[in-house]
Amino acid sequence: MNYGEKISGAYVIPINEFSESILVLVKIFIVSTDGKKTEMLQEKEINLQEGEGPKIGVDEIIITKKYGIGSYSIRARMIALEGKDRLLPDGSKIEKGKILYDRVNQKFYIETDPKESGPCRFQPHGRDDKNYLFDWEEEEDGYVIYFNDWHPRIKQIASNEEELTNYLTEQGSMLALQIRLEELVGDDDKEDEELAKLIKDKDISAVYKLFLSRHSEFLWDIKK
Amino acid sequence: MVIKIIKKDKSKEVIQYKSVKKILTPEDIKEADRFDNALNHEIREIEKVLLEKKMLTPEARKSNMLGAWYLIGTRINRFLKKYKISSEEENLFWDHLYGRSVLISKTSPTSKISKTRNDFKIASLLAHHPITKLKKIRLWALWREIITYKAFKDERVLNWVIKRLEEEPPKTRDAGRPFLKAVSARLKRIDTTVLNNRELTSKLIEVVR
Repeated sequence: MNYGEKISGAYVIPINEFSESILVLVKIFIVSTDGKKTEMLQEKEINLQEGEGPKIGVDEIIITKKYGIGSYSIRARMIALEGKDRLLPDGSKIEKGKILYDRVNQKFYIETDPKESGPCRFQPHGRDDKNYLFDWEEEEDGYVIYFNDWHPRIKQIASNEEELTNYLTEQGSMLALQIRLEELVGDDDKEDEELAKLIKDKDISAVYKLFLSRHSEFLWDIKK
Repeated sequence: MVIKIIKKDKSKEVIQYKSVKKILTPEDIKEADRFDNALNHEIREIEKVLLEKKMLTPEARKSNMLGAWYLIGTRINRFLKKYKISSEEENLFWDHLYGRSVLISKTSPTSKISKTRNDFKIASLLAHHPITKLKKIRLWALWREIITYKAFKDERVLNWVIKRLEEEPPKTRDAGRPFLKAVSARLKRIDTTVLNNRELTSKLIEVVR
């Protein structure tokens, strides 16, 4: 989400499934992932009758700079404000302070993207070498792909994060295919039939054709 | 913030730059190097102060474990005020504080260490409390336990636990552990903020009754 945008319908409706009323405190709040920042949207003490209670929360949240860049959750909690002679499904008793409901209802990211996942990460590693544009190395949780930021093709875009990201993302498909091919040569995994056939047939002329077609497909999808 | 990691692999040294970002720019690397130099400088300063105050011996023995870690935590907190680290990268930071000083931590954990067991993270949390309070329980190992319990975040619970441990001080961490576990179990799924002092105390007393 970006500054100025809105989140609609940040509210909860408490439900009492017991056959008697209970005094509860319902809170709905925003909390940063590290737990350091909290903002109460609404908290209300209610005598919750059997069935649905009132709507608690806000109709919209406007994302302003007061939140800071990062990831946040909208969280709701219902706490008993009185004891009851009844047990909860986990066998514990209802006493004052007991948390009856505590859930993250929605996660959102302000001026940042969700944590990226994937087996590859890119790291610059410059070297005065015409033959080297990319290199890679296996690490504990995937591959690190080194790119030569001294290479004129990359040097011209290295200081522009957006351009660099676009370029590396585009190249990423070819590199991923090459890495996958190396993996397949090394073991008998037949998950990718086309790549497996390539290895079996030993037809070098088919390699670039397949790579180009996959690369094209990848670019089509990301640029669409 | 990108974290620079130096791994010593038998004969060679491997440098990695890690972050939640999947694509690092040359500027990210420069920033990570600057941060790493500043952090190493801070660690050297901490070592110097610990040696001067005789909390640490040149043989890497801490004569005053609690005091030494308190000082380390205080200095790290001050460092983190200057160099902001995102919550996503915080774990990387804590993990890779190990291995920077053989005086502070003689050995580095061989496997990944959780935040609740990381000495530096624990020291940082403890440094938010006054040292006079911490000195009431002198065992660093017991503090390592106490600070990680979620239920003790309520200052009133923490103070009550400290008072009990002062009255009947356990000789070791293991001796103190059952009491801490019992308090934590009693307050499981309880939001203590809605309880007044009398209500809270009556729940806590059930543990020792």
